[in-house]
Order: sequence, then structure tokens, then C-alpha cells
Amino acid sequence: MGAGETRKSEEVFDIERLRELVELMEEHDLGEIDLRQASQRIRLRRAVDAPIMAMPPAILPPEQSISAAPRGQQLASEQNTGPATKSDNLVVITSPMVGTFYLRPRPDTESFVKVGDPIGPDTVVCIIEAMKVFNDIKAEMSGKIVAILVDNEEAVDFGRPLFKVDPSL
Amino acid sequence: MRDTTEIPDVWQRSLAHPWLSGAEYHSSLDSTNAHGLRRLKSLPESLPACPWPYLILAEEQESGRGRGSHMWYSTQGALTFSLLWEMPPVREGSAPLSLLVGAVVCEALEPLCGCDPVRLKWPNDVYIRQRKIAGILIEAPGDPKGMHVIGIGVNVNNSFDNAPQEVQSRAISLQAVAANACHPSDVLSAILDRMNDVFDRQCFPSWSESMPWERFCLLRGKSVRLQTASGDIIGICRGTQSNGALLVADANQRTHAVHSGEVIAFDCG
Repeated sequence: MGAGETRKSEEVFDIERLRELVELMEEHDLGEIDLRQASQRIRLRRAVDAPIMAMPPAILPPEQSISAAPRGQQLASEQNTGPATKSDNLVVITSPMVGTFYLRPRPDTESFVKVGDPIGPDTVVCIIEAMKVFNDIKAEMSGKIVAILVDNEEAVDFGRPLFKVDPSL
Repeated sequence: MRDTTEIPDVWQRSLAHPWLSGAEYHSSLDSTNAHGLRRLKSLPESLPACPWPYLILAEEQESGRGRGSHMWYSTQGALTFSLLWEMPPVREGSAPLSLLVGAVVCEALEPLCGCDPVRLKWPNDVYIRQRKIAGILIEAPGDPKGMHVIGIGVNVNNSFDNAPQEVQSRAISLQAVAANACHPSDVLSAILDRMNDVFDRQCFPSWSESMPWERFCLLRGKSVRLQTASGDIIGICRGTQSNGALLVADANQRTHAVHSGEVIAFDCG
């Protein structure tokens, strides 16, 4: 095995591998591939001709197709060669852990944030509870909440989009 | 931070425990966790590193907190305190803090409880004789330094005679099972001693066991009903994973790894 092949086999997320994955998704009509290697993660999603089941509103639309795992991620990155839309500038706040999403600090209190609220890096936007550890989740960015993508007390996975934020406002 | 109230003699020794960086005593508070969160908000950004762990003790809590809208029923004779602690942010796969702290409390209570086995009901309640003797509530306020507020309540000498019926039927105090009479300060010292044994001040556990909570697991092998955000799960508990998730095998032999949920019923047999 040559050095080039060795390098290729070690880098799961290089561009050649991504092309192969996209081709495989098309060939086998797959809607999503989710890969992890050590601390790296990439999820590919593509639109399919006929949806098998209705997508809940909490799921990102298919054009926002390539995502790595960081908390705030740019939607529709430069890989999207289509015309820029307003959503091109939106970012999402994602879940840093598996757990239960709480939009309110207590059942009888107001939500941490609502659609239209301005936020700053230190704004607490929700709580995620896992094994009775209640973690305040901060926005870590400035902007305005344009969508809340998860219902109160819904189960969330690592990397699940929670909020859409317009950072230009 | 300095103590604001004179500390009664009986608490002097435990509050001067060498594992602690500081402590404060209150005869009464709304909740030690709520007070701890307020404390953190009022701290200056420039606070020097590592004045932790810091302990907040209240002899009585007026509105002790539990999960969601749950309250911690607390009267005189109970031990209620919170630790303010800086530790690395929770990451996927990191050691489950509530189970680690739960194991510490179990190990501390074990020698005090006579022959009765101490058990941890996933993920944060300590049981003796199928009744709850202690509870843990951990809150992470999103501080960039990784501050956590770890609330621990232990029923030591408190009575449930005037408690709601639901509490009476599910709670127990140490005085009902202890071989010798204990003051809450003795229990606090025992917990801090064990903390000192297994955690350094940055909260890196040094147990020889990889999953020290597992030997205390109350639910292993029992039928359980678990309420989760995705719906109820009914099955047999198969213990826990190293990341703390509870394993439940349902009637179809499908095993669920649950990270968040409430065990609302289990087989006591």
C-alpha cells in the first residue's frame, strides 16, 4: 500500500470520500448518512423525490445538508452553489448533549426565549437535562431567534438543531 | 467568599473540612442550590481560579428543589447542602456526574446504615429498604469556567410524621436504620471524606472501578417503568453503560439506553 493510499484511508472526511458518499446516497436512494471518527462528525442529507413520511418542523430542510457538530453552525455553507437566500445567513444552535430539552426553567414560568427575541452570547436559551444534571445552554452568539425547532420536554440527541438564529439582527 | 453567619459548634469541624476551599452556614434558606446559583451570578469575572469546592449549608430549606416542579421535602434534622464546583464542561461520553456523586453518597452512608444495603436508584436517588434516604440535584449554569452546583439532601434525623402521605410512604431517615445515632454534621463529614478520597479539586475521579455506581444499582434485574420524553419504556433493567445511560430491555428484547427520564415504578420484590 502506497503512502497516498494510507493517507486516504486515514482521512474519512476528505473531499474524495465525500464525493463517493454522495454518489452512494444517490445510487441507493439514501436520505441521510451520519459518520463519526474520533472527534469529527459529518452528516449528509439530501432531498428525496417523494418523502416517505412527513418531516416534523423540527428537522432542518434538506438544502442545509452538510453539518459538522459545533454548537453554532452556519446553514447552507459555501458548498451550496444556489442563489443566496435569507436563510443562507441563518445559523443554528445545536444540542451539545443527549437529553431532554426544556424551554422553560420551571413548568410554571416563561420561556427562556421566544421567536423574535434578541440574544447575546450569554443568553440562556434552554436547559438540557441528562441524568438529572440540568445544563443551562447559552446562545454563544448574538442575533435574533427566528425559529425554535424543538418542543418543550422533547428528547434531543447530540448535535440536534434547537434554534435558528439570524446573526445579522 | 466569607461566612456570613456564625457557625454553630456542632458544624465547625465538618465545615472546616480540608477538601473544601470555603463554606458558609445558614440556619434557613429557600434552597441551597438556588442560593448557590445566585452566588455564582454575583461573582466577579476576575475571580481567581480554584476557590472550589465551596459548600453552602442550610439547616432548613424552605423550598428545596427537585427535578422540574418537584420539591425536596425538608425539615429540621435533615442534611441539606450544595457544593459549588468548577469542572470540565459535560461532553458526550464523559463520566456521569450524578451517578459519580450518587456513588460517593452511597459509599459514605454504607458504614452508617448497619446491615441495610444502600442502593442508587438511577440516576440520582439513594435508597435504603426500598425508600428514599437521599437525593442529588445538579445544575450547570452554563458558566464558561464549568461551574456546577451540586445539591445533596440526606434524611438523617428528620421525621416524616407531618409530611404528605406520598412522602411518608416513600422516604426514610437514617435514624431508622443507623447502628448508632448520627448528627447531620457526621454525615456531612463522611460524604466530604469520601469526596476527598475519590475526587481531586478539578473533579477528576480516581476510583479503581470504572463504573463505581454500578455496584449500588437498585434497579438491575428489576422490572421498571420509565417515563421519557419519547414515551414510556417498560422492561427489565440491565444496569448502566459507562456513560451512565440506563439499559432497559423491553418485551421484544430490544435494549434501550436511556439518558434522560424518570423511573416512575419498579418491582420492589
